[in-house]
Amino acid sequence: MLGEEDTQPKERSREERDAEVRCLGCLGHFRPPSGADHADCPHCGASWRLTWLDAHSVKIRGPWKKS
Amino acid sequence: MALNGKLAVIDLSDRSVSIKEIPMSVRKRFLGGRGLDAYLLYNYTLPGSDPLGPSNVMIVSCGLLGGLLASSSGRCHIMARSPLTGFVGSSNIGGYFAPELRFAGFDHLVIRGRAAIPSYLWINDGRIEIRDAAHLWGKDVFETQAALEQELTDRAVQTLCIGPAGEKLVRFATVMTGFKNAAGRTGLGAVMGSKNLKAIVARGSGSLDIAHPEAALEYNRSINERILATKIAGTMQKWGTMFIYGGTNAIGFVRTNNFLSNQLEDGEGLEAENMEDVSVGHGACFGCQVHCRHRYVIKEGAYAGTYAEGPEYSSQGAFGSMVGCRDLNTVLACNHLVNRDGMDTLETGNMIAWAMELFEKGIITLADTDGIDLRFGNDEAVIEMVRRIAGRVGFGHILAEGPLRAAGVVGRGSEDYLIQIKGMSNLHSDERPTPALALGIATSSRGADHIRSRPGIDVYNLPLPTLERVYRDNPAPYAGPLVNRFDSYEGKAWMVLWQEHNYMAVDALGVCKFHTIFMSPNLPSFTEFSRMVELNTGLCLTPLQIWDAANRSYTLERMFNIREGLTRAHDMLPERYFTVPTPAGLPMAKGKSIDRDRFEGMLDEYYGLHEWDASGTPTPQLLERLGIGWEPTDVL
Ligand SMILES: [Zn+2]
Repeated sequence: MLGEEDTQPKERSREERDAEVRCLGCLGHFRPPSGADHADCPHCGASWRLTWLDAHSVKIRGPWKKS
Repeated sequence: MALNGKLAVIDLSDRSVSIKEIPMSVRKRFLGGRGLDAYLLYNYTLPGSDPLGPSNVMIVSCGLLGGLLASSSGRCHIMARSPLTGFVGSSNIGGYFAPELRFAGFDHLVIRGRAAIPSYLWINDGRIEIRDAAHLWGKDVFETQAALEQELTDRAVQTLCIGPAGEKLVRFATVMTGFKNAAGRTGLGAVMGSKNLKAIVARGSGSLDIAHPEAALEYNRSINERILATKIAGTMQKWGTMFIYGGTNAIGFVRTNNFLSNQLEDGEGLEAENMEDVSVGHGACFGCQVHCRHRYVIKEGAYAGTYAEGPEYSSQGAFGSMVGCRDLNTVLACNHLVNRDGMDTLETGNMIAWAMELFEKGIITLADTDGIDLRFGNDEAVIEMVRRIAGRVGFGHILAEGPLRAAGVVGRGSEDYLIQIKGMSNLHSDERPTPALALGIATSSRGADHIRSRPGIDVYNLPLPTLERVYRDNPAPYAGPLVNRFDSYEGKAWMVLWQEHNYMAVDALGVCKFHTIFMSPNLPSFTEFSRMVELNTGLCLTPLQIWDAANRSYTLERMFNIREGLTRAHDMLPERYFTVPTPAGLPMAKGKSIDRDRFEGMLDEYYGLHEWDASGTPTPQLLERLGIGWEPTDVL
């Protein structure tokens, strides 16, 4: 739900935007490793499960439960 | 020109049909679709008309841009006095019906009276017949459409119809077209059922003359490219609206177990990605490039092997989080059932969730529920209650009356557990952390609702320049604050009002809300609408004139509601929004409730921006300026 469009003051290319997610915890942007099923936010440390629309476009799916 | 569609006034009691021109002066003031419907509803009903009586009217329309070169221009709008709320009944429906109605020569239908026997309307190239539908009565939504295609020997006919729930006057029955397109909210299917009207079938071979065809084509191409370039369109293409659930549930925006929580723990089973197991592709509405609609085959349970379409985000809540169910199969089965029988997914889920909270608290027992164990998370019980509501069986008969009437029957303080406003239940969203969204549901003209005024982009905490671009002087002047925090109360009244106007314009033009500023700030609104209208119809309306038209129609909806008894007290949240903090979610969503004084302040500000007085009544000056200071008019 939290939009990943136009959520940063600076202009981003479509490629940058698609490759980045916006942390649901701190609202910071970061680029997860390509194809990863989860990633940690470098800003606040929160862990997120990821979903890939295609090889280049990623969204957060939900929280990653650390075992 | 494109705007030569007629208005047909159909009286089912005396079987008369009167066909009228729609003057251009009326077009300019009310556009079409929901905008002109508001004008027609106000003028074709008398105060206090029984919503399920012959004096209520049911209005069916396409938008000003219906069937033309605009993205997703196939939206149909239906309006009547609501049998659920007693206020404006209004719902918008996708699919292919509205363009077909226009190709057949009609832009608006006003249907009044009551047919002596079950009937359907056959609208074909300028002619309207009232036909016998006795053989269709009792058929479900899918059977009805198939039977009509066969009877009319044309698979290209487009049908609006009701299912058994509409026939039985379930107060939140839908009007349906296709497998899942629903005019879902406010009980318009019951209005249709009360008129003994089973279906409306349209087929047209007329053409629409576009004012500037090459320029309209090129402009529409550029708009489509812009829509498809957004990340949200790419996401919708793959996951539909179901994608919303993952993020909102992670944060704590998802109403769970009626209102006991704002987050469904271990709710991963409801995520959109699980549709991959059952999906057989995607579908779209008329003129849409996005194709956000899931098509699926149920794999497990009593309905295994059944083909269906959807579900949407609303059904993930209605038959998932709200009722505490975590199995997507339950959502898929219930989605199929409400579409088959013609009921509003949200109202159905809300009624069951409410009953479940009453059951868990001991306010009702097995003696009330006909022995059904209505504990949260009982998948089978949820599916069974959907069936019983549609059939008005036992306890289902009480729930079929909608929230306020059902609470009146149950008594025992049960009304306190409803999540309703103006008599209509809410989406499964929890607005306690988001004051702007809370104001939106409180003030929406048709009751608790997320698509009539919701500033969806507020929850993104967008950069201020983006908010300025969207909300400042676009096109109406605004000198107040804009605050890019969704927990703020400041500047939110204007955002709600702006979205109200934007969505009214969208509904009047007959295009899709997902193609405007709803969930992305980068989609078209008034400036683009103005260009689309001019290139397609030749009608030159500035962005501000479209804004004013939207304001005029929204004000008429308000005037209709006031005529039917609406007061400031109806623009109010359920009490628990103020008194019970959210128990779950991320820090931005946890421990939140709405501050009553600040909410009242926001409501005052909202009324003031609208030029309504402190009671929420439009001022005479506003009515005069909008040219609706006199009534009723008999222009149409
Ligand atoms: Zn973070």
